Amino acid sequence: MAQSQRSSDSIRSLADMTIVDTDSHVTETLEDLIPYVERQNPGVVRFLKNAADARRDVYSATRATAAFSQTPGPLDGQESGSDDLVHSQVREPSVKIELMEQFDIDYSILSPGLNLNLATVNHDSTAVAIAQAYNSWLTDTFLDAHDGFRATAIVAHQKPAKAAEEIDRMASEDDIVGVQLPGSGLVPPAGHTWYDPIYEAAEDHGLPIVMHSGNNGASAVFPIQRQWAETFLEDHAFTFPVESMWHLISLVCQGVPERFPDLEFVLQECGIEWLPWLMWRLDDHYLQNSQDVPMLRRMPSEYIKEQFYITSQPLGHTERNDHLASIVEMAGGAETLLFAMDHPHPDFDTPEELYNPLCAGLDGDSIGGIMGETALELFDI
Amino acid sequence: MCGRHKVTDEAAIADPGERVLTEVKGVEIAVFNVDGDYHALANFCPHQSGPLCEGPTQGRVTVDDDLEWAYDDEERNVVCPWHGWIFDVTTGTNIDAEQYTVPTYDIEVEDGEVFIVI
Ligand code: FES
Repeated sequence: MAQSQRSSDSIRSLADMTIVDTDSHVTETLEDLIPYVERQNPGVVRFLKNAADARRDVYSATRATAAFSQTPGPLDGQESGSDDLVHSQVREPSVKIELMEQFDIDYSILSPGLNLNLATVNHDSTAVAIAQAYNSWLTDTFLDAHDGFRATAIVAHQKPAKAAEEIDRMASEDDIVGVQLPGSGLVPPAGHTWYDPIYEAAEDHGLPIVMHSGNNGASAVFPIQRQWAETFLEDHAFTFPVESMWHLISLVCQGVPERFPDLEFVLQECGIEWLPWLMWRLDDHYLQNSQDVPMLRRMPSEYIKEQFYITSQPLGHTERNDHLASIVEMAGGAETLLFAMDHPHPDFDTPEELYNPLCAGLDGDSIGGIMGETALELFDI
Repeated sequence: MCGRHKVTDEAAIADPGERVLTEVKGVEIAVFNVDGDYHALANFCPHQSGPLCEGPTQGRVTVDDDLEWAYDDEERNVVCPWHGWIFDVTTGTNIDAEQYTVPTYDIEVEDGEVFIVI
């Protein structure tokens, strides 16, 4: 009997693909960073040393209720902390390397943990000092420890000129592949000219701006919602996507893609399923209100498809795999979507969690792009 | 159907900014005077079929080389009265998305009378 033939160039297995995890957290503590602050910015180190509770005394990071309270392990107000591999603290490389081996991850783009809240630091010079300390600690602790480690360097938006200097400093590190401008609690929204020095420096160095969503800084951005969200679940469900929508709308409508045509953006951990809807909505608004945004020369969705990327985790729970595949295709497929795992947070996704539903509707090349090849190109790996 | 159809006496649209709306063989058509030149356009919006040519004409907000706001005051654009889509009267093209166009028609003027060729 003749064997049925599958089109060989359209079917590829996950094992054949390069997998890039585009949102892989470390879990730095102030204790890790204080020696660096002491060396680099001795004037502000007392603010850190005097802090009884970093999230309250240095950052303004709050939660409605404890995070992921059903997940086993001593969470202690943090997203991670138990001993099992998927939830372990990541303050040194071995845990991350073990995880990458277990899940066949080729490259991990390291993101901050505590400093996802950097935008909530009230004292501007402290924010700058923490950013410099984190970047130095990350470089010393992780970047030479594994060939697959790459990272974003974080910047403090509180002082844009200093942030640009920090980009200049970190861009010489080969393994720094992006600039992390934490989205949580970031005010004003990302399209404001306040951020121009940061965007200019990133564009000059060919580094994308990476913005991680979060709920901890929501009191700055959505104070009413934050006050009235009674549980972690409802706060988390709302803030991550809505915060990114806010920044994305601002970036596009304030003409940042026109002002910085070679600059690319990555939105992390905000969900992907809303992106097609937002593109349709923005295009509809644009056609009816284009005189509000004269700097735009094209439809908003065109800028989004060309200059923006979005990371996959956490995927929504769908009853049918083909529904997710359709949404991904509508969002731009491999032009837009990047696989992300989000280790060691309890809502992490394995590579199969994304790969399997994509097989219900996308060809092998598109899936290969999403699982890693698009990221290789974007981050120049 | 093909042929030349009188739309109006030239005197009725002699001044820039004026327009006449008429119907030719069941098709609603407007003739606009833009800066002394005549342009004919179907009174139909490709968005949701609104009466495009009944909307106001205007220039357009633009930006200079530094991306500061400016205004091009040549009133060559018609704004659909239903949801505000904007078309360049001289080309029939949506000023924001060139894939959306409205039929345009040739104009002839003879002895003080304006005709469209359809
Ligand atoms: S029908 Fe013309 S703008 Fe909607």
